[in-house]
Amino acid sequence: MMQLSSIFFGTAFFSYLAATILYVVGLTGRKIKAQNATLATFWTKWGYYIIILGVVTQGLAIATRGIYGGFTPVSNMFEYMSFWAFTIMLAFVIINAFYKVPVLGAFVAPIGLVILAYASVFPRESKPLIPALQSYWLNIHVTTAALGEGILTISFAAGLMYLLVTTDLLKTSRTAKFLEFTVYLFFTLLSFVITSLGFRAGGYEAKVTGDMGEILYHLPPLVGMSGGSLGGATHFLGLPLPLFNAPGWMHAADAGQQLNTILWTIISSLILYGLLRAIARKPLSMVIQGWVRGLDAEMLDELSYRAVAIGYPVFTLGALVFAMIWAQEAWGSYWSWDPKETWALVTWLYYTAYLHFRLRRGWEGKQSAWMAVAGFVVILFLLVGVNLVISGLHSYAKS
Amino acid sequence: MNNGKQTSVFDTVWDFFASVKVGVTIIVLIAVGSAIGTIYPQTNAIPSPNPEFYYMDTYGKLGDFYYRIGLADTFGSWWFLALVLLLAISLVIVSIDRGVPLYKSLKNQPVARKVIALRTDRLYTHAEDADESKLEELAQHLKKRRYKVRREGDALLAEKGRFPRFGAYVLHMGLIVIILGVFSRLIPGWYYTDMIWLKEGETKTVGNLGFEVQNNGFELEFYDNEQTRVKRFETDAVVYKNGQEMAKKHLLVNDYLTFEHANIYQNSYDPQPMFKVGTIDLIDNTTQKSVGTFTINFDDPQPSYKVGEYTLTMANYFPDIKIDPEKGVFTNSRDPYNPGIQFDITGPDLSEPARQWMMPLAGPFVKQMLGKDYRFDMQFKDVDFFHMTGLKIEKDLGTPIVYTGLGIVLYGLVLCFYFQHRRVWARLEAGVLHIGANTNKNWLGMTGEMKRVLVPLGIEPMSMKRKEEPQQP
Ligand code: HEM
Repeated sequence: MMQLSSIFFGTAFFSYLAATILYVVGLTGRKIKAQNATLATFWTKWGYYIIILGVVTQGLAIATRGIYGGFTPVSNMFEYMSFWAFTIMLAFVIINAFYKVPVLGAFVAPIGLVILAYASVFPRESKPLIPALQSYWLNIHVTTAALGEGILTISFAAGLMYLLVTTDLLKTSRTAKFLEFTVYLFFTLLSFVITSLGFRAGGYEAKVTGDMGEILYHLPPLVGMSGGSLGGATHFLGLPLPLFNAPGWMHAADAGQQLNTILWTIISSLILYGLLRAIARKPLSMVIQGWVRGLDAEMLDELSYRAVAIGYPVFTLGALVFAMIWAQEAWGSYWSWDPKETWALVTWLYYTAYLHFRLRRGWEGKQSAWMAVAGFVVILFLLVGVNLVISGLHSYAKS
Repeated sequence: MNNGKQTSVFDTVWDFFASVKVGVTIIVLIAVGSAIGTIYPQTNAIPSPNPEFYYMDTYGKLGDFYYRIGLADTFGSWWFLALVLLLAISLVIVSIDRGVPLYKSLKNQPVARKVIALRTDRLYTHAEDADESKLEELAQHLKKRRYKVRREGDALLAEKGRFPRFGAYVLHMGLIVIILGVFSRLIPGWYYTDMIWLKEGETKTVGNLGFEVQNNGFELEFYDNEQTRVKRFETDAVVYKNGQEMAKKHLLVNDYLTFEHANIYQNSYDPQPMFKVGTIDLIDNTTQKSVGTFTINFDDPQPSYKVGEYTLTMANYFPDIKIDPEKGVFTNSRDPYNPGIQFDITGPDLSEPARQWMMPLAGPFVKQMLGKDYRFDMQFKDVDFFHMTGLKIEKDLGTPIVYTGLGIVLYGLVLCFYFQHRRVWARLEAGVLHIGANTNKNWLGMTGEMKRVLVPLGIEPMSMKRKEEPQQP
């Protein structure tokens, strides 16, 4: 079953990859040959079909893994993040069926793809459930919450497209800079995934020692643990490592390792971004802007809002109401201000603020699109940041 | 509802809380406050009874600062509660301030609108050469789509989903109910929470709730293929009241027991095992032979044990022994986590009692320190451990109120986002049928619906007019 699940999982991954390529080629093709619009729609149409294929196979991957483990596989970071990618793609498939905005796929497909790839950075084995998770509420609560987050992610994509359509990137403005930065952030996530998976595929390991014992690094240790000897761990490309150590005031034992990962991500993202930028010879946001030229901005604004309007109640139900009922069953209190549930509340309040801002005149359009884009960061923090940065009752999800 | 004549303090306050700007500010402040409250664990979640040292020791100066300025209890702080209270006030006021006029205006809305007004609707179309029958046909088509249709001469108003228009108000009401439910904890007797730790067989009284809970046995099970991963832990719990057994249940983490509105949860267990009973083999070091065995109950050891021809008299018992170069030997607690017993052994071939330690968990180093060449060796043949179970007791009479509030909120959300208030006006004037349409949400859906209504009538469907561009200051 696990093997079958892995095969489905791989198929889904490559479907999303193929869909991304189809969409992007379809769109850039349209730009190059404006008269060949039919060919372009041919590409995007197939992109859509392939995404559907991906969603179906990922559904099968989840189902088979669920049969193997005996529960819906949403109990650790790998399972949860890949489930999120699944709900994003699913939400896109449904929303696109109603709104027919193929270009949306060119944004959603890469986002889902990168999240899915990011998921596979985490350990992939299926572990049996600890007592706190042995409840049917696990299935109900987590899947509904993830569905809400998936739909809200569509609002991010549409908001981003809106900003690209309405901003004149030739003039330097704050929006233009932020857009370019947003594109850069996407490549940051991508570089993180590529370096992690790359070194893992190569089987890289290095032991680093310091004040607080020994830690096994999976990336070359540019940053060591506090108290360790510089250059004493290993060599990489002739460089004696670590180059420097984590400062002593950082208490966590793995502070050095985390800093190291961050440093690697920054370096590799700058390389990747620099390379692409050198090829494009203009800001990447301008390149992407070419894809969306001519789209109806108002429709995108409406789409972004609709995604929140649909996703917000689902999120409320899954991430708050079901969570509270389960907490009452398992922990004896419907609310205990544990970091994960508090951040679910923060995310919810964020989108509440979004909805109320929209009630005010003049807040449709640009401002609200920015809020939708930033909302993605909030969700990302809720899903990843809380587990990696803040630990609490939910910290079992770390493994 | 400031009518402008006199601005009293009341009006000012009212207008303040009725403002969406203020409301959103409160929401944002609560969000920011909550986020700050997650930076470090709150005092109720730290594994230490001494927060004044814990934050410094675990998180350094920043953590200590966090604790000192009160953020370690963000969610019980006066400012956080004040924000929630402000939110509640704002919710009540905004509902009255906007809900009542909205209700009145929808109730009294006229059927006939001026053609000039219709023309400015975001969805507008007209049909030339129309007559009364066309209008009637339109009315029939709209009725089929479940519109409530009212006619007044040559004017028509079709409406559906008026109640969902109040979705946001229903939702806000639900939020108020939730807040009331949460604050009901302040009513004396409505809220009680406690954590009790029970050894096997132990019974404890639960606060002032007037009943006792007994632990009749605790089981801990690990997964076969992953020896460090807990599979299940459960307590065989019994509730007594006035000496009578009232309820019993095998408590599991997701399966609790309710007694007199109080829920008893299997919350956790003490991961450090305690000694229960041990069977010990007394070995004579001179002959390397076993003299015999004896059995100790660590919770209730006997003053002396008889083994073969020897008598072991307990000189000292430290259930949780600690050995410190300065403080000497002492016991850390009264629970047998790490027992240490000093025996005086007497027997026919011993002229004076041989004093010697028995410490099952002591390492070789401690043994050496305590030293000497002991005459006997005491080896554990068999030992039973047990874990203390941690049960959480929670009584919260406000819970049903909170759940009711949640239900109302969900209902409000469904009304708000999955239904729309749609209205169609039509007016026949000089042979031209003017049709305007309006919805509070989902303009694309409305446009589609109008298309399905109008095309069969041979009227050109409407397309959405552009909203004016947002004004940039
Ligand atoms: C946590 C608190 C709150 C939540 C979850 C909440 C939720 C909502 C939602 C979902 C809507 C519908 C929005 C839409 O249709 O796009 C709404 C509408 C509204 N909210 Fe709130 N709200 C909250 C607090 C407040 C506060 C404090 C105010 C005070 C000023 C307020 C004023 C309004 C107004 C005026 C509307 C529009 C009502 C209408 O459609 O006529 N809300 N609220």
